[in-house]
Amino acid sequence: MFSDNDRISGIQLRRQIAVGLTGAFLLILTKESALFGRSGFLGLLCGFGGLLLYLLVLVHASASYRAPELLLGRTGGAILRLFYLSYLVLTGSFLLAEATAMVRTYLMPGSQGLTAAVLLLAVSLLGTGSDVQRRGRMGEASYPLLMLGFLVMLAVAAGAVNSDLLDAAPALDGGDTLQGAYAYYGACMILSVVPFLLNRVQEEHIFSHMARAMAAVTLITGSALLILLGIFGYEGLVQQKTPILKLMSRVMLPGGFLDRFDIIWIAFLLFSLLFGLGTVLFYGRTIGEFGTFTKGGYVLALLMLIGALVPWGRADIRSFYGTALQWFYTPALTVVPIFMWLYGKWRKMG
Amino acid sequence: MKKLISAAVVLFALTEFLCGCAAIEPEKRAYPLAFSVDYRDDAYEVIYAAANLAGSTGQEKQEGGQQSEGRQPLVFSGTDFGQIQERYDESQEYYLDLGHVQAILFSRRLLHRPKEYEETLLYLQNQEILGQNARVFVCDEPAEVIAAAESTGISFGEFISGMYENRPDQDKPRALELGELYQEFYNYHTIPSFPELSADDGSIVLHSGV
Repeated sequence: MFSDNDRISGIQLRRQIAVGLTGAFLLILTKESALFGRSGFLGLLCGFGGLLLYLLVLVHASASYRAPELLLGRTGGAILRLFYLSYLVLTGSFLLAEATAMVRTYLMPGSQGLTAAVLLLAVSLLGTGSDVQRRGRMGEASYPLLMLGFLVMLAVAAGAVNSDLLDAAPALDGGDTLQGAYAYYGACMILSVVPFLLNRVQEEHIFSHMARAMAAVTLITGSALLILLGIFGYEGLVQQKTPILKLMSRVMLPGGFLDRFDIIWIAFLLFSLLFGLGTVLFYGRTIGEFGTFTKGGYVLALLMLIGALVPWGRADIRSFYGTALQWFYTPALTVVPIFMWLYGKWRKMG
Repeated sequence: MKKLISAAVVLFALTEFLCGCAAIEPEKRAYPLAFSVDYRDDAYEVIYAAANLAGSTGQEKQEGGQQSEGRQPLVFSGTDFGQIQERYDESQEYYLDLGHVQAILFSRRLLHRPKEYEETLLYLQNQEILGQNARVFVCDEPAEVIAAAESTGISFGEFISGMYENRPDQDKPRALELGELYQEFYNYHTIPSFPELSADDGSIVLHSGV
């Protein structure tokens, strides 16, 4: 049924992106105050617009990412790979820290952080696999159920929205909108590693597939933000640590047969988070394993574990990841693909 | 073959690692179905009404047709909720799991103290496992209300849930949920109308909101 040619279809790429990102965006971006309120929602839409331009750049630059050493030389290629790997380590650590905190609170109370983190990492490493076709099939198969689950949960939660709280949200502000747009655009920088894989996608309309994937993710994230605003109110939302997890504890299914409805929601979130972690590990292997070095995935996993658990003074990775993303990685990951695209074209013409 | 070996190594490491390091087992946790918060004599007083799991699951023997006694509520006092948690940890063998709380009782004294009310809401909000659909009530003396329920052999949390769930068609005061308290306080800086509970002649009576 599937040809063994180490390539995936555009649909599989699309569904992998949606499955891997939706859970993380719901858990993390619904805590980002820059996306709250009217300005935040408009900012999210503007950020999505900027992302579409970025995706165009990524698709055009993908030829340069097939073998960066040929374009940049051995040293330049290694520096490029290290740069992307540093981003993956930080992002993976951050994601692992967030997932670990959720698991320790809701699924394994009283557990050690190391236990939960190792379990999550082991499941991501072994479960989601390093084979591109296996991941593609997994994403393709789980997409309908997962997205339907998210949509149904949000639809049920929407029944508890208080329109007065929506109306009471702060008025539109240009500065806040720009902040929201930049925050959402920055969160989408995880897509910057996709060019390393695009030569293994047997499809011409890659931009369309990636755009549709992100449209689905944006729709679900935006809907969740609106629903959260309508349930908690703007000031209440600012006070919440993990509003998306609290959201479902406000909802009861008719009949009251399930005392805590949020456990189903957490199951969907966790699946998506694990797939997202697996995505980070997969790209880490793809980028980090070249030449005779084939252990990049395990090194990345170890670095992610250390990054997720080791305290930084009185804080942890979750305290400064946003700052590193905002001030360094977002601008750098925007500029690098543009450079790779233009430099690749210039070298070809020369 | 290589993958099989890697998986086996990881599994073995996990097995070794997880011995004794897993989450706290369910039988080693205390599951209060309700608790009360009061403020008196410059200190918070929290009463946990634990679930009578043996009684509610029918495992407890009843002699002479008498109702079995419920578990004794646990009372802790402290100048802040951190101290109350410390006192619980120092004196109790079970891990406190607030994930099954169905009802929270506020004393009228607490509602009349804005600073302490806000601190209480902040404490409750920081309990991530605590569901926001827990019903909230007000009363004059939480200890009396909880004792009245416990004397029937049913935990207070089960009693209150039963009042709302077992007679859905009858008129009764609208249930107020914990999430609504947050919503009212943080967005409008108001305290909503609480349904009231009182202990009259050893029975619990539910009144309209005050």
